[in-house]
Amino acid sequence: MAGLTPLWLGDILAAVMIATAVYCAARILYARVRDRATHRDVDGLHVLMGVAMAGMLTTHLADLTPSRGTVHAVWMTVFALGTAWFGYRAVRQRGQQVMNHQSGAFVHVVGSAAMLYMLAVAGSGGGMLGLSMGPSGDSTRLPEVGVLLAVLATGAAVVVLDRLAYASTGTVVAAGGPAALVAQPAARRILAPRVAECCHLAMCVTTAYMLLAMFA
Amino acid sequence: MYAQSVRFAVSARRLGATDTTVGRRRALQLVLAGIWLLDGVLQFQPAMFTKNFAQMIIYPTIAGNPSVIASPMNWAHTIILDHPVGTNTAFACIQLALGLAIAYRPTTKLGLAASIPWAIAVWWFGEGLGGVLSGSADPLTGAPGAVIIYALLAVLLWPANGTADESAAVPFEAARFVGARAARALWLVLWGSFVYFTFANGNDAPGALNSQITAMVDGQPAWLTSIINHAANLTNGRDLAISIVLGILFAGIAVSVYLPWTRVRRASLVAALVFSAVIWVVVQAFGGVFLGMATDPNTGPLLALLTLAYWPIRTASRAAAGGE
Repeated sequence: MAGLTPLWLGDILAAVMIATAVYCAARILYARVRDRATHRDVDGLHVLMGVAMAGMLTTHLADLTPSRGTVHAVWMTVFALGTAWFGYRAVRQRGQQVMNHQSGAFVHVVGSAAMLYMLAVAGSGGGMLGLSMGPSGDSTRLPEVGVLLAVLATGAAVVVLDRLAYASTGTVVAAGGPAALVAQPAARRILAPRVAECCHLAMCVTTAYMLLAMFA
Repeated sequence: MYAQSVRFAVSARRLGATDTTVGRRRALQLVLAGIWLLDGVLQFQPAMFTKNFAQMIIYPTIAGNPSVIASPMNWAHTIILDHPVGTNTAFACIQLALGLAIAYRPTTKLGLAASIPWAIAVWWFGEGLGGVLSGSADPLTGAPGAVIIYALLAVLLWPANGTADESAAVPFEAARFVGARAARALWLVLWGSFVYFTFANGNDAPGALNSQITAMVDGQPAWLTSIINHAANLTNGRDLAISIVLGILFAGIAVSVYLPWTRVRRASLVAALVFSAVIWVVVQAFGGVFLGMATDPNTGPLLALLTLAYWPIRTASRAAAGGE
């Protein structure tokens, strides 16, 4: 892909991903210090995704995500565990209508699985990773899986945006709508839920872009 | 906690929503937003930033159009060819913004409204009016142009709150804003045009169907290549017979929205959904998304979305009366 893709686009997206990762790392620390609620697993996933995606997007940070070796295996393991964890969460959340970035664990399954897929393609294709590396030209990379994940990531972005207008309360809402809020026991307010949703949105759109850019 | 719930309810009312659940109409809007978003992401593909975008996607649509249509297209083609990075960045950002605006509730109307002129502009400058005037239109390959269906959907899925009672009884969602008569007429024109285009432009000539099916076969995954080749073999030498069957099918779908029998309407809409799915896979090859040069998913998903907007609504009174 190098030579085809405008390098500035990869650099800009990498900067956005790093900024997102830094912000999510700060969320975890800030919430702990100020006794505010946040979803550490989601924030943690965004930190890891942000770093890994930045490594794939720009040649300047390519060392973060080598396509072979121990570091590559560690990344694969991390995102495989992430997929399993959020898959478990998605099963547990069935039937619950929720309003913040904890919600829709399935969306995080898509994010983790997309990372796993891109890393796997990089490992099998030899130096493909995203825009920072050359085309893989690998016939075993299962393009239909990539397209499916890109469509799911786009759908996730739409769902996140639809929810964004209601994210200010940052409170889990049971089926039954706003009235059900009153009946719920007091809980700590979620730290900056709208910003968290925006981070999620950036992750979804960038993931979809990276998956589709792989076919060039 | 109580203050939070009050704030939530107030913000929900301010947005014109009765609750936070995603109703049928909103779900259709979100699918439309998702397709626009996908278009924006597709437009960011590396190949789109090269001159190939102008040469391989824009230029072929110019041929055969009357000069009054073709001249502005040539002008646009030249600009895109000379400035591929700048123009493509703008196109991608606009489509991304449209998708985001439609999905975000406070800007849904803005997004839908902006999508209409943009879709019309792309239909003209990017798709050559879908080949309607150039003699290359075929419903199987994407006539009358995928992007004009975006504009149609933007009108039909316009938020009804503020302009009409959201809970008012309508026969289907597409009728909620423009009214049932106008919505049915639009459906009739679209599917009626399919009847015409099936027999126009030599689309029913020997070998035409086969060449349309196999046109997208190169570079596809093995399983899709296999499906396309099987379909090409099945249709080989049966162009006229298949065209007649398709013509009857399109005519039936076109008039079905006027029929009083809900079951017949539903059956026709199911036929429309099946048709959309089949052409999307077999002829359109998912819009060519596996080739790295797709600008949109083509008409398959859009026709399916449009069909769902015409799906009969089972109202409380009808349900109490026994349905049909």
